[in-house]
Amino acid sequence: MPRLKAFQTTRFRLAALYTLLFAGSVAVIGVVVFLSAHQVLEDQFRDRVRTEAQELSATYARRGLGEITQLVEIRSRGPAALDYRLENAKGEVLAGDLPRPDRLAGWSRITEPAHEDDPAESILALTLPLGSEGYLIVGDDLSRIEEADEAILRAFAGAVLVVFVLGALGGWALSRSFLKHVDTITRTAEAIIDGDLSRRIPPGQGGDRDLHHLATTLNRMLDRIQGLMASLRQVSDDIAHDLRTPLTRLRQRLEALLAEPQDGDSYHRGVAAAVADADAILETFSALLRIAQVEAGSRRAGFREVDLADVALTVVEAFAPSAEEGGRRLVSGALAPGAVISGDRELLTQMLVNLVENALRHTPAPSAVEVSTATIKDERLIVVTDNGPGVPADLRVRVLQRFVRLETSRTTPGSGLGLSLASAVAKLHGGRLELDDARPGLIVRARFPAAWAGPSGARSER
Amino acid sequence: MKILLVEDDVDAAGFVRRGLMEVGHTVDHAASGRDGLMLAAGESYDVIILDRMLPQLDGLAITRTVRASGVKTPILLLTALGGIDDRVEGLEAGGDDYLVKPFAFAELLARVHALSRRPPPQDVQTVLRVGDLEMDLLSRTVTRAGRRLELQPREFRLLEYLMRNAGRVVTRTMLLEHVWEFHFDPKTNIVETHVSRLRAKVDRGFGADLIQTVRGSGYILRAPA
Repeated sequence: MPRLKAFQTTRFRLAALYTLLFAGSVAVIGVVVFLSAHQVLEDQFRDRVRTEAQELSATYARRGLGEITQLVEIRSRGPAALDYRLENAKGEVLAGDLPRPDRLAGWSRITEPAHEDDPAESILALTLPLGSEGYLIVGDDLSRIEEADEAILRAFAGAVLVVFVLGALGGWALSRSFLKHVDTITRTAEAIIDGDLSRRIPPGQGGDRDLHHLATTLNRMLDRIQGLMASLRQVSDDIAHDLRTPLTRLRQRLEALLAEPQDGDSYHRGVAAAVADADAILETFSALLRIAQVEAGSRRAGFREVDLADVALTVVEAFAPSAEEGGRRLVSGALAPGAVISGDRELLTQMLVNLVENALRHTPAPSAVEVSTATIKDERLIVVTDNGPGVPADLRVRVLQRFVRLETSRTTPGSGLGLSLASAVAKLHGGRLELDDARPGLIVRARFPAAWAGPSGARSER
Repeated sequence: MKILLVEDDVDAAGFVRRGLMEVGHTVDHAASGRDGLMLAAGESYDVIILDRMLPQLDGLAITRTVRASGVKTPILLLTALGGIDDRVEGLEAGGDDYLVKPFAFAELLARVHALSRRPPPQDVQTVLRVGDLEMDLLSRTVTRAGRRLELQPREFRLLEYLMRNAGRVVTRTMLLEHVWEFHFDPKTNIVETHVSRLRAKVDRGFGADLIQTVRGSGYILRAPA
């Protein structure tokens, strides 16, 4: 099997897709969390700064500049203090240590340069005018928000990383169990392509019903294909085996005729014999094709109700005179009423003709052959009984196969296909042929199910 | 008789054509379905012989088209060996008879003749007469020279078919198909035995034989000249 590059396989793609999907979701959640958290923190920050500034501004309004200068001095020394700057109208600092913002109105950002062991700080400050006597600036270090932002980002970056790893592992594991079956199916198919037609897909363990169903369906298909292949091979083997001899004989006959004078009597006899040879070959060929067509099952579409007694009477009536001339007796026995099946009248007639001809041909005169029909429980039967030598028990199944003829009957005419065609017709109707000992003689029963909906109906009962 | 032969196999067509012309028929040959359809629609023929398997347009399609355009010329379909569904399909499409390839020429000739002189369907006969042989299809009685013949039902059908085709050769397979509805070839020669039994009733003791054997072809029922 040609190995695919890792990234071309469904397994890789499935795993990658899972992972990307998970990581993407986590990233989106991260961004949303980050933005809302940042917003909340900044709102709180501004609230705090605004409240402080407004409080101090109110104090100024009540008590004057001197009072709040003192207050700012005290506040800026307290623990976790905000940053302050109080300046007079001339811009001189009265209290606090904030650098002057670029704009003396509203919110502004101030960068406090680094000094000694303090790193540079970014400060967000609110400037309020104190009447016309100066400005109050209150601010706070933004680093707290920045730290929070950073923490959130770090957490989510870690989460995305974990998701990548877990997603990749999970996707791989998930797709592995699924694709293991797919691989098995692929390997089985490869083996079959390489010629091992008997290979089948092992049914999946575990609870995956879809895959199990797929596997059994594919196996059924493979059984059917193997059956058809075997039947095809059988046909070609048969043709090779049984047509080679008569074709060789025909060829030899024609070659010998080339040496004969064309107006001679033996020339004409030879040509007639060659035509007869060709006819025999065509008959065998036609029978083989007919069996193959019956086995293909397309005739089921035209099934109608057929009374087996009708078929029996027609065949007995048609063949009785010929049997009589050959010193044999062909009679109809008990004909059960209502032995009706759904079938192909023409093929059933041919089946019975083959069975009757077989019985007449292989029994020495004076023999008797009886055709009867029966209804047994949910089976409908056509039975052909003769009082000839019968068929040994160990050969009864074999004689239904193509070209199989008992050694004792090699000398009698026949292609060896009559019984196999009969058997194929019985199978087409969901039935079978059964050979038995009539003590003495052979009894052939064609058994058909009474109500048969065809192979599709049988399958839906599963 | 004017016959259209639609057959793509040059050798087979030549063989059939020569044979038909030797017995005095005019034969037009079309090697493809399209040419065949054009001739069938444009010219007037007594019989059309049509191969089932043709390049471009197959025999069934031609049959349907020809029938749809109102042409009632009898059509003989030639079908491939072993095609057990072909006969039904062919007749459903509007064909009148079928013959499985390969066939004996005598078989083809007998069928062409049988097709060409079919009585029109509306012409319902109740009595068939050949010489001094008379068959009443309503009372189902047969007499020869005024003497009543006792026939089995199958013998009656056999004689009826021979009488309807009086003066023409009917082959063994034609009898199997029309009298027994056997569309396959049994190995036992059941036709021969049934015909000889019928002969014993129809011809024995009447001087002139009406039923004659045509060697290599089949049987013919005809009034003595």
